[in-house]
Formats: sequence, C-alpha cells, structure tokens
Amino acid sequence: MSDLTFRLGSRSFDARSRLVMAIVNRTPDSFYDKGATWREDAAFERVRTVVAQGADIVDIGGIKAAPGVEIGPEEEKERVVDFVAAVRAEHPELLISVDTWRASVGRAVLEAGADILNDAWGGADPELVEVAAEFDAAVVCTHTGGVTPRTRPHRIEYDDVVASVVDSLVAQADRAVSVGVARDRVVIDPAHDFGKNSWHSLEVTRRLDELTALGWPLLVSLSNKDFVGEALDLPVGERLTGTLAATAISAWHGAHIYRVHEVVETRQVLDMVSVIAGDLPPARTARGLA
Amino acid sequence: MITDVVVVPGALLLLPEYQGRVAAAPGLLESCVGAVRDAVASAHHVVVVHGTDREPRSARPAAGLRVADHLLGATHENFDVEHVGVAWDASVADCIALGRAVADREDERSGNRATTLLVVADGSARRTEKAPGHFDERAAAVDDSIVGAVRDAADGGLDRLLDLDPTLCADLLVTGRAPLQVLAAATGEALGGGHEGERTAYEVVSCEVSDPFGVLYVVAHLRARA
Repeated sequence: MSDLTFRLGSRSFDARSRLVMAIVNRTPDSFYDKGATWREDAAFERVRTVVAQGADIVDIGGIKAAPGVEIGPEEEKERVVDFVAAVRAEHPELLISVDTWRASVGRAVLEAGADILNDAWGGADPELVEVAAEFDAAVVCTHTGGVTPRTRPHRIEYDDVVASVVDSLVAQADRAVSVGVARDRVVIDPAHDFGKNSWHSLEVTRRLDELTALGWPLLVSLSNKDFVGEALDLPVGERLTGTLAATAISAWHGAHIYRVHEVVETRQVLDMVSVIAGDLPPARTARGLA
Repeated sequence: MITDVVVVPGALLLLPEYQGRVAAAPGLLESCVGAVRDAVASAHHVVVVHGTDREPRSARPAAGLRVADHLLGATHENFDVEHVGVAWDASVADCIALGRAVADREDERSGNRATTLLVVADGSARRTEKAPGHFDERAAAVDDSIVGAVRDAADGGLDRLLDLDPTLCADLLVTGRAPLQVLAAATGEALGGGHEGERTAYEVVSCEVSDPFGVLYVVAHLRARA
C-alpha cells in the first residue's frame, strides 16, 4: 500500500481513497446532459442531488469541451463565479472544483470559494497553476498531447501514449509545485479522449497502474466518453455499463478521483472495488456468521 | 462458588474480524458485553463453557471459545479464565459429568472466591425460512423450553435444561444444548458443597431473546441469591 496522502480543501485523503467528483455543467450544450443544468435552479438542484447521493466533490464547468460557440472569459465567469459562491454558501463542507483552463476564471472562482482548479486542457494557460498556488488551492493537471482547448484529436499518434502521458503529467505536476502549489494538492489526470483516439484511451486504462505508481493522486474522467462508446458501439445515453466497467478497472489500478455523471452507480462500483481490495469493510455481513 | 451465570450466543458475527461498517445485529454485541461485564464485575475467576464447532473446517479454536474470549476482553476486567469445552453433540451423561466436575472444582477452591460461569450457547438455527438450517416447525417449542428454563432459574428452572433431547436438538441445530446442560449440572445439586438437595437459587438479572437471522440468541445474566 502506497503511503500517498493528498489534500483537497480542508480534507485529507490517502491511497485507499476513492472519491466521486460529480459533473455539474453550467452550459447549454454539453454532450451528455445537453443543457439540463443550464438554468441556475436546475444546476442547484443537481448539486443537492449529487451531494445527497454521496458525491465528495462537484466539478462545475462553464464551457463544454467540444468545439462550439466561442465563450470568452467574462461570459465564462458569468456562468460559474456567482454559482460557485452560492454553492459554497449552501454546502460549506462540499469540495468544489471548477473546470477551466483560464487563470482569470480560476482566480475569480477561488475568490468565490472553490477548492480545486480542474485544468482540463493540459496547462494551456500557464498562469493557472500560479493562481492555484496563490490561493493554496488544489490543481488537476491533464494530458492532452498539447492540443488547443476545445479541439478534437485528428490523426494524432504517439509512439507510446502512456509515456507521453507520464512525461506531460510529471512535468506539469513538477511545475505546479515549483510555482508554489502544495505538493499534496497536485492531482494528475490522463484525460481520456482528450488528444487521444479510443485506442489511446483504452491503453491508458489498461496501463493505469503506471500512472498511480507515479505517486500523485490520480483522477480519471471516463464517464460516457467516446472511447466507451466505440468500445461497445453504443451512443451517448447507453454507455453507463461500459463506463462502470472502466471505473472498476481504474479503481483496481488505484485511481483516486472519478469525474462522473452518474453518482449512485459509480459510488456502488467504487465501494465494491474497495471492499474486494480490502480497503473498506463490507457494509453488513451475516451470511454464514449468524 | 458460582455467583453469576451469563449466557451469550456463539455467533461469529460478534467477532471483530467479521464486523462490517455497520453491525449485522444492531445492539447484540453491546447487550452481550453489558451482560458479561455485569456478570464478571466481582469475579475472581471465570469458567467459559462452550461447545465444539458443529462443522469444523479450520484449525482455529471453536467459535464459542473465541466469542467468549472477545466478550471477556471487552470488559477490561482482570480474572483467571478457565475454558471448558464440550462436544456439541455430547451425551447428556457426559454433560452432567462435565458440569459436576466444574462444581467440584469450585468446591475445592478457597472459600469466598467468586466465580462467573460464561456459557456460550444458542437455540435452534432453524426458526425461519431464511434461517441457516431452513425452517423446522419443531424449533419454536424447543427454543421456548430453553428460554423458559432460563427465565425460571429462580425456581429451579435450569434443571429442565437436562431434559433437552440430544437427537432432536441436533436435528434443530440447537448447538447450545450441550453447554446448557453443563450449566444445569454445574449449578444444580452438585452445588452447595456437593450435598444432595442443597442448591443455589439464581435470580434473573436480565434476559434478552432475539432471532434476527432465524437463530435463537439468548443473552441472560443470572445471579446467585445471597
């Protein structure tokens, strides 16, 4: 068992932790929910629901990952900053992450009470980690192969995708620490589907233990993604089972944070893996013991 | 002399190595520890009476012995502990002999040393459809006779435990039959210096009965009348 420990907000975790990060989109056009939580009241209700379902973290995003209408920093702030402040007011203990690559947005959401900056575009704005350092916030470093934010991979190949992931993530994590982010507040994420075809994402999943061995807390974002859909030839909306299978494999390899749409199902899978691994006692046992 | 008797279940789910995140039988462990703690509060010596496992598969000590040791450990009291194991399917005569031997050893001990008898014994494991041994309609009557005998301890009820039929009890998975018969013999006529007819009467301090999994659990504390 690794002696890894990490901190998010005021909470501490260890290598056996398996945390659910629930996606909360403040977007009208994200691929999975298609704007279901675009209205503020719907987004609030989504937060209440996932908290009740056992989510440890919410990840609030104001811009969908896929290409689309340009959203400038001011509009992104309008979508997320006040919302973060309101969520913080209603849920003082909840860990709040914001999915943004922009340092200016990062600064505003940290001032509003966020705990984590989820830099889903691989350090596209190098000042983002400096903002995280300034606020003693956590930061998620991601591998995108260096692509421009909100672009799809097109004919990208790697000699060894996992080696590229390792090199990029270690470099980003080291830089985050070098600019002052607390070492135990740096999270790494191979970013399935980002800068990757499905073969790449599947190989990363298969070899995820090489990433957990790096000694940083590991986040995986698998939920309903194209690599699941292409593996099973299933459209968005029919990828939950495949997502949960990938979740179980990732959990067995030791990933720590799971960014998801479906909290209840993910929590059950993670708890089941934790119980099988011996990291968590079963809930209640009487069979053969009465 | 045997100043206190405490009866507890021998369920493996009482052991720490089988604890889930929440207790399978809420309150059962606490009841057992409470009864044992009360029963050993003034004891110098504890005699654990337990049966052997009905279906042994391992080299570990019998489940009943381990449960007893766990409960005694949870009291954080100091006393000498003696273990008396009895085959779960021992004959009534063998149980009586073992019980009398316990009583004789008590007689040989110096005067005022207080001994607690900790008896690990369950009723039938065939009380319901979901019970480990499935449902047997005869289980309730046998269990009622066990509970009645314990509750009537003040009026010599423990003697009735000697009437439990080994064959029927084996059919009904009453694995506590033999330890209960050792208890009856140890607290029966052999007491009071071994003189026929002299007996110690026991008052029921507490007696809780439950069967959350189709197995009869009795948690009882009996105390000798002063």
